[in-house]
Amino acid sequence: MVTKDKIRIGISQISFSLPLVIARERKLFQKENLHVTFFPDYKEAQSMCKDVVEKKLDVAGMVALPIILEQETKNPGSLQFSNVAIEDKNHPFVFLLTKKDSSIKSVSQLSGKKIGIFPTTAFQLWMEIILQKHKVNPANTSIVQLKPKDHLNALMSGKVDVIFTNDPIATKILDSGEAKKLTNESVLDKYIFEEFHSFPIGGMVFQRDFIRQHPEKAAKIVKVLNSAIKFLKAHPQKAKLICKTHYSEDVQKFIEKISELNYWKDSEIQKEQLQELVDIYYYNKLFERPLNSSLLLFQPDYRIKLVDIKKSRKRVQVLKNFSLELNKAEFVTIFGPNGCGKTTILNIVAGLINPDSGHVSIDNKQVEKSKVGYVYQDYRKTLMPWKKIIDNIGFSLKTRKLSKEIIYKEVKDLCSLLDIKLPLDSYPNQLSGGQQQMTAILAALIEKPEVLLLDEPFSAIDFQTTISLQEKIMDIWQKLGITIIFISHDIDEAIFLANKVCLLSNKPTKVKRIFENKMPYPRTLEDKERKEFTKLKSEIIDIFSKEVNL
Amino acid sequence: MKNFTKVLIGIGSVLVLWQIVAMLGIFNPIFFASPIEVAQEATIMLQQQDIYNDIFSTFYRVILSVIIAVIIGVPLGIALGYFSRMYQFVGEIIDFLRSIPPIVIYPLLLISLGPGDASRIGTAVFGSIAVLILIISQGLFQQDKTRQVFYKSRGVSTIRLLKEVVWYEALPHTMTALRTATSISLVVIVVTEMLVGGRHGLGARVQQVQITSNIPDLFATIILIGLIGILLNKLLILIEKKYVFWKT
Repeated sequence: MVTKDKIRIGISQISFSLPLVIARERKLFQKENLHVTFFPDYKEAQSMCKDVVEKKLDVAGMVALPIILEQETKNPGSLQFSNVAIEDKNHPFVFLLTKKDSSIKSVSQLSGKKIGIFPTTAFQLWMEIILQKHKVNPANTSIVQLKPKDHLNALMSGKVDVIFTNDPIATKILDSGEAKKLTNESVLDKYIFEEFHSFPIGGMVFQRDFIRQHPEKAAKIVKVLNSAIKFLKAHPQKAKLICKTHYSEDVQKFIEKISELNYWKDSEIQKEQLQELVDIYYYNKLFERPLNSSLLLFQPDYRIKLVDIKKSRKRVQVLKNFSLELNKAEFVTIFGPNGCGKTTILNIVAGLINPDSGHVSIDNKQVEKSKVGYVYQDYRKTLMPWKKIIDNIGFSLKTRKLSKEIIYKEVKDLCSLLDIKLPLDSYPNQLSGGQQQMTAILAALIEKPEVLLLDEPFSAIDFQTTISLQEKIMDIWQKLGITIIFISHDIDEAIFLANKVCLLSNKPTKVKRIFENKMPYPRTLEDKERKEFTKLKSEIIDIFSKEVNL
Repeated sequence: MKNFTKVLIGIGSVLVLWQIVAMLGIFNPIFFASPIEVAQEATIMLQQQDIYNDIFSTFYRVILSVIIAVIIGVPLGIALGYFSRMYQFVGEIIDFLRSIPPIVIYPLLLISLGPGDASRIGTAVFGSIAVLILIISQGLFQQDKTRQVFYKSRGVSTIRLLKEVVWYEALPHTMTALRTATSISLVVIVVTEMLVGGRHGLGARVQQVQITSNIPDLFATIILIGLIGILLNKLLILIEKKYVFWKT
């Protein structure tokens, strides 16, 4: 096997990379038949994360969340994260330290003082939150980012009055006997957990394209890390021995001090919370983007399931034992005979109509409306011609009691994230059909749905515009990492867009067959001339024509 | 401008034809006036204060009737159109009430409210409300429900849906209903003015002029009422164009 086909994994010196180090030392990747190459020499995570964006690495760990977010914001759609390390009450790792004889007794006395912090955006953010909670204006203090190795000296020489740092440096400073904790509890515990019970600090970072191209491999990597975490919890002593092979002495010392190596928790509730924290908390504070992040948690076990659906309409059985299972972030087109109930399927997924029996679930949960965006064939049916484009797009956000300014900002952010230019202050009737349909698509996306349903969205739109909209919808899919279910009556379109084409049978409708289209994205019109494309097309047409007795 | 010219030519031809008919003496001149006579009479009429009082009185009664009918009828029409189950209970009743020629209610109101404006306006409101409710609710029934279902499923509250979606979906129907209601009000008010002689009002004027058998004056008054009707209609079309801009 050549190196090119191996999975390239970066490992950093950060203490919570330990599960990755354990997986490497215990050869857990090989046990899952994964061929990997390690790049273990990253001193800090910033450059490592950048290498993932630039596709020099496929996966890397662990990287602080603010760093991942920063890179993702610069390159939307390039990253996904998993196996997140979580700070909670029992695991303080951030400390505010002063000199032993300092007169500063609490955070509220920090006004006008010099504060040295660990040089990351996360520490900057945390420090500002802590100060604000103590009614100290961060602008009245001087916050300086210091290299970790200078932290002790800066505090002792009086260059700074307090130091805000994490382990292992904090432990090292405390061990010197010259410093004390400003508060006894974990700083994050006291000031941040009031709002959030747990706090994601960092995790594995994946190239999104890698997940797309090798979902099974990516799922295995998450599995490997989970089993490394299990080992870590079960055998802390062995884990400490293993860390000697990877870490510098400072980090080793710190890891030895932790009684439970327990940053990692893996419950269902936290998955939801995590995404929420990333979206609302981190994005809001760091990038002032309250709702629209494009960074997604990678959930290999995520499924959209339709199981044994039965549905009759006007005494005719449309769906009988209809089952379909989709993975996260797939682009699925549905193609089938006329009147076979394609729209009925979408309506059931959207929760607009209930099946007579059977059930629909997204990630093992019942369908929630906000998780599904729906775009109709005829945009006139849902757009409101009496509202400006910007109000049409932002309308569903009004239910969240957001101010007009925030809603407008959201809409503009979404447009710029997706690189879409629309005359936002115009009314729908002043726009072309293509622009109106794009408005309907954005209106469906504004709530950040996990699944986007499109019912022949381009069938009423001219050829030239359709081509650019097709490219746009693939771009949206890539950037947002959402799952798309797209009904198409045009076989070329169905194959061109999707990574899976779902061919349906006659009534009562079942999935006849699912075809995979492995052509890489971004796809262009020329791809329709490719051999794979024409081969797939004739294969589908062959089965389709037998089905409809052509 | 071209259209305007056409309209002028049309009106001009009718006037000429009318003048010719009058000059040919087909009709008895005691009952028939030529446009020139009418124009002469109108000039005199417009120089007197009386006519303006009459116009104002009728105008005021019609407008007030329409406003009251709108305040009651439009919300009811939208509510019944949206909550279609509610309509099933009261639909037939409304249809029945609409079938009663409003003017026959007048004597009843005359007894209870007296011969003043209250009974006139009451009768016009009665005639207008049923039409407003019927046109608006029927319009909403025929409206494609996709938008309502869609936003409801997105978690939009009923109040917001009514305020920001259904209200606008109903607006074109509301404007049509408003025009019909205005015509009905004008008819009802003029008739009530004719029936029970108030001091002012175009109906009362017609009544007085008839007694004096001043035929040209009668013609001029009738034309004036017609012009007021058309003016109100044009005004409402103008409003519709502005507020229902997406339909034009």
